[in-house]
Amino acid sequence: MNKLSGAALRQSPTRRASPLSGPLPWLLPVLLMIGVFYLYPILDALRLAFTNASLIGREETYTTRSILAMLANPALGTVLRNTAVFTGASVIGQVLLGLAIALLVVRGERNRLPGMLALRTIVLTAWVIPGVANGIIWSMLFNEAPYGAINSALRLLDIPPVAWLSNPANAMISTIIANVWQGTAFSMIVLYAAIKSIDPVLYEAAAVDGARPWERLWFITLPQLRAALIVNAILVTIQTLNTFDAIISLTGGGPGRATEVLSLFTYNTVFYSYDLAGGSALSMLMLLISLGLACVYALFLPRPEAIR
Amino acid sequence: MAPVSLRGLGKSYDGQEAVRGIDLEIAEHEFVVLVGPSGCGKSTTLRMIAGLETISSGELRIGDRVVNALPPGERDVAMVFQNYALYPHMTVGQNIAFGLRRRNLSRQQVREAVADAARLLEIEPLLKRRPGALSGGQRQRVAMGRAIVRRPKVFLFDEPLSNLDARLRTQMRTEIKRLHQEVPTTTIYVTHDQVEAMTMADRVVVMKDGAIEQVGPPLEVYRNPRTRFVAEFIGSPAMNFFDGRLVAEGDGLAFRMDAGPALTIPPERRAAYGPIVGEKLTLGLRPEALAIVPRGETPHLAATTRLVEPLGVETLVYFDAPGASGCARLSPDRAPRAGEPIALGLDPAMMHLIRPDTGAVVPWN
Ligand SMILES: Nc1ncnc2c1ncn2[C@@H]1O[C@H](COP(=O)(O)OP(=O)(O)O)[C@@H](O)[C@H]1O
Ligand SMILES: [Mg+2]
Repeated sequence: MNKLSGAALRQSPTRRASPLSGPLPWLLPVLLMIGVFYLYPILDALRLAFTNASLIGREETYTTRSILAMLANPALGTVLRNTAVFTGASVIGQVLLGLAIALLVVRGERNRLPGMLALRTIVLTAWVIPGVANGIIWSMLFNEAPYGAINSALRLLDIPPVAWLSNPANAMISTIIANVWQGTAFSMIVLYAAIKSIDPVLYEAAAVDGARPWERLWFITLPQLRAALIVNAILVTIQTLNTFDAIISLTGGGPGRATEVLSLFTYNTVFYSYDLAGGSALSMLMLLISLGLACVYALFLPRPEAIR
Repeated sequence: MAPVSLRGLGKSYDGQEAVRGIDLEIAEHEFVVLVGPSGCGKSTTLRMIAGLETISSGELRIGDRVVNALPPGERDVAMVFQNYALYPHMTVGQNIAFGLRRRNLSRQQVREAVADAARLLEIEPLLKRRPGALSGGQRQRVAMGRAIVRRPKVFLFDEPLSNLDARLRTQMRTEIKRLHQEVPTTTIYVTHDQVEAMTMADRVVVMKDGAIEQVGPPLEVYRNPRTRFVAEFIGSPAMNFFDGRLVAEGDGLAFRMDAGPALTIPPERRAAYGPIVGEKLTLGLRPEALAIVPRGETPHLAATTRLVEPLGVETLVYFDAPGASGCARLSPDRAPRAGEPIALGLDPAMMHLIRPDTGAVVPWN
């Protein structure tokens, strides 16, 4: 045995024999946290979906009847349609509005316009407001009584009052407006950061190549933002799918079921109908929808070589 | 293809002058190199020509048009950037074609133009790839293809080779020259590398602190630098400097080094140097103006060899002399060894006399 391997031997026992070797010990804390706080609840909900569990604790038995009953529920169709409209419109609205504001802010900063920091801060305030408070704020704005903020403003312009919340067709639009108003800030911050990280020399090259402003947006900014836009859309979609606090305090899901989305329906199923099994089945459905959409989005992520 | 004319061009950032009073007439098809140390305002000047920086003062003409107020896209210039600035999400072909968008060409014409440029730069096999999948040298070629395809009036290059390794740099240098011969276009090329400037330029423009120090063909600037700055910056290894005084000697003149021999001034320079007899001056001699002489010969500079760099065709000998150190360019068979004392003969025909206060070289021809 030569000197070298002797030295290696002297060191290796501590390395190999130690229970702290390998990546596992380093990952353990995270795995533990994820396991306890995420994985376990998900698995438990999955288990509950196959029971007849109720909030008023009676004896649980395993059955698929809760799931079948929930799938047969005539409200589910309406709720899913509401969810699709609410989520789709919110995601599109938030991403587009967030992108527009981010582009404006970056442009303003480039031209040394004053007040850009203030603008960013104001937009962000909407985001830090809790969802319930957001619902209350907008219910005051949309209030159809004479003192309702928007309607009284309309009256000043001689426009007849609008049934923002009581008309089922308007209620969904109002809910989307309230949600977009709050969620736009998130998109703006994500996209603002992404725009700032685009190499400015690309715009110079495009300028020399004679690209007009909209061409720079279309051929440089948007392709460069592709990854950020998609990741942002995934996050906003999941956020929106889970939104029910703002809706509860704004419309409570009404009138009728006009603004009842899946998350609110799940909440109502569990906490008003005490149907824990049905609620669990619904939450599994939500998980599937979120995962499915995230996968679809991920298909559009740019290949690594296109980002460099 | 057009002449470019810079008249009193200046740029200030928040009151700080970065570039001032640039006067330069660039002829049609001329290859002009702006050279100078980092921060001297080369890029700023180039970017003003491109339209990427606003012009604070002066007038810029491309062809017969004043273009001060024109946006970059309407100046009909093409630029190659230091880090190439290729559009990462487009293929090589799309990158090259991008500048043709405004030309109202048919699809077929665009394809032909791109193919021509690609053939010229030998990047045809790369057209379908994206920049991320290319090597530095290939990206460089694509960037040049993007410039060439438009057949612009003026080519602008901002340190295009500084991200390449030495071998590739030399290769691309000749490549750019070849392209300039095949597609003669007015070219303004920025570099901090005086070798690039010397080898590529029809005329070099040496810049310092935001102003032009000297303009001329490379050899002219090399042989007759007008200031100590130019003398020092152009040429590698740099010129050697020795302090001393110009004195009368018999019926002629001589430069007496503070610590070293006296050097007889060649007769043809006597008239020009006459008025400055007695003044303290700096003698400038390029490394090739120094040669080893037999110890007994006078006058010679006694020095000690510090470092010897054999380069094959020649050997550079770095030496220490009393009051100065410098470099001599010697033939390999005459080269001493490190640490050896040597006697250096100085060639007065190649001398420059520099005023120490202004840094100006005293003209004599
Ligand atoms: N955007 C800017 N704002 C302020 N000063 C600048 C700016 N760009 C360049 N400068 C200054 O102008 C001078 C010339 O810069 P530059 O033209 O980039 O030099 P070079 O290309 O010769 O290295 C430098 O002193 C630099 O600090
Ligand atoms: Mg520069």
